[in-house]
Amino acid sequence: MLIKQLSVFIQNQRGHLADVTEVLARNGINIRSITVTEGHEFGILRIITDDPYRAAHLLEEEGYLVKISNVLAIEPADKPGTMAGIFRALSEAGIDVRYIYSIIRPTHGKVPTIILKTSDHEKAAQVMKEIGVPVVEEEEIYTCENDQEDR
Amino acid sequence: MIWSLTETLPREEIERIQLKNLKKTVKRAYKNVPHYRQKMKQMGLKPEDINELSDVRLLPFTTKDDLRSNYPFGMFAVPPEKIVRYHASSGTTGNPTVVGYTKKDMENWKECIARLVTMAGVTKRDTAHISFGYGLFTGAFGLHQGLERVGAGVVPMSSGNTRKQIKIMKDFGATVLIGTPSYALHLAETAEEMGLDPAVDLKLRVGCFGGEGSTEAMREKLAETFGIFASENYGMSELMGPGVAGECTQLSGMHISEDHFLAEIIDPVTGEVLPAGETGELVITPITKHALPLLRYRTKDITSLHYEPCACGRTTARMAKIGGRTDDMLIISGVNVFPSQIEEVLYGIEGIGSNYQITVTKQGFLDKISIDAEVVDHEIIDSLSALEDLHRQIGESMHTVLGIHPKINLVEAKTLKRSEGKAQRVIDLR
Repeated sequence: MLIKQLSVFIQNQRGHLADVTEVLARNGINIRSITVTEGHEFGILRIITDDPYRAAHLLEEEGYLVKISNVLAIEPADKPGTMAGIFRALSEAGIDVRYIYSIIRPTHGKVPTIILKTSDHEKAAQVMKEIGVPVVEEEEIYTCENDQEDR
Repeated sequence: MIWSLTETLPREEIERIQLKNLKKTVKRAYKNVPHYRQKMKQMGLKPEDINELSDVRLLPFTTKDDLRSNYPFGMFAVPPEKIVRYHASSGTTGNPTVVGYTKKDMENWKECIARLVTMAGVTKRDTAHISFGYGLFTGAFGLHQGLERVGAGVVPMSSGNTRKQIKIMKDFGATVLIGTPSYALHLAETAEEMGLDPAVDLKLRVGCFGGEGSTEAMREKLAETFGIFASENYGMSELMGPGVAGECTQLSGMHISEDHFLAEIIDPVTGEVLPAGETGELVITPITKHALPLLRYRTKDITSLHYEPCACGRTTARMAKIGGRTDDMLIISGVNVFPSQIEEVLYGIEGIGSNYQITVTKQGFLDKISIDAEVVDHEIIDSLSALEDLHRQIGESMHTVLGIHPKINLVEAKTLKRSEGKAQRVIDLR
């Protein structure tokens, strides 16, 4: 159920994003989502790929410090109040949200996918079920079946 | 274990031997080395004026520059046919300093090494892997000969080819590791990359590290990583090579082989001798050397001397770990900073690797110091706040210890250059 996301420690220097992503490119790994958290001199690159363990291994071989962490992917309905309802429910269940970003899966209807890092994913998934928000399965994020239709 | 009874003699007896050896050395230097004869004549000093141990203070100092300007053999006290070995120090600028040994010097060298490896717990049942580079540098050959005298099985691996070193250490079942502390850490890192746990998959039990200064934090790191008793030893090619002093299992300082070396601590600015226990520059007169009898050699190393008997049973003086060098002390906008202080702080912080780089620059009239430290902890890298906490913690600890605010750069693991010999930690661009 949980998505394996890679966090890579990078210095805030020109060319480092290119260096990291080229490692993946050379090895035919497809990036599903990418986001950078910016600090003054360093940042965290968070990526979801079609092959998390292989990607992590390749990056480590190149000397990067990589952490694989679990994140939760959900698909809230596209209407006012959905997000507010989600955060209220999580908060009432005693769950903290560490960070959030949204990804677009172009071929997957019109609903964006929201990636959540919470203090308790199992419990958060349970809360989502209770309030009727779909939780996206791991495989659905890694593979993009519609890509293949295009080919 | 104690190798020689000389290490346990009463202080008066040690001092009696020292005086006897000092007198002979001064005579040899005066008679055979023009440099010393001239200097002593200028000072109105004769070898017969040395009658007590404290008279050593009357003698002139010797510096590395004296050796350089007498390159290559000007300071030698014996003709070439008496020399059986040459070594030289790494001269990065100008001439290297060249040293020579007579047969007797070689015997004394082996004896001093035998003492320090025995102090660390090495016996004839051990297999000793030497990762110092063989060549003009004294480290490898010095330890090699002394270990053979003890009867240990010596593996003369030399430096470089790190992965092969691990394989040989593992396959030969090495129990003792000899090398620089920074290269030893690199070996450990490489072993881990090869999927080995250095503490479990290698049979090492003792490490004798030297060739560069090492902090207590670094010693602990080596002990923990390899699961060994890690000891440090001290020496420099001008004095003999390794073998001047070494740590016993009490880890209460490095025991000096005092029948071969007379140690003093001076104020590096005034040249005045300081009382026991005070910190200053170490000055050593090797008192049994025939080929190169130096008088009061200024090591530029900062330490202190302690004369109380040690719990190990030795009565020889102990020198504290080197707290820096008079010439690697950085003056940052008027504040004295030793790279060893920076290392001590970094090694006390979790999540930081063992390699670091200090860079000093000038911006306008101000000195700027920056420290690159490697992030090696996987656990914190998904959290920007944890990284920022680490960054702040390093900055605050540096300020507490150094009294200044260096700029701290957290850098990607393994981006800093690894060393195979002496680590180059400081880049001074001023």
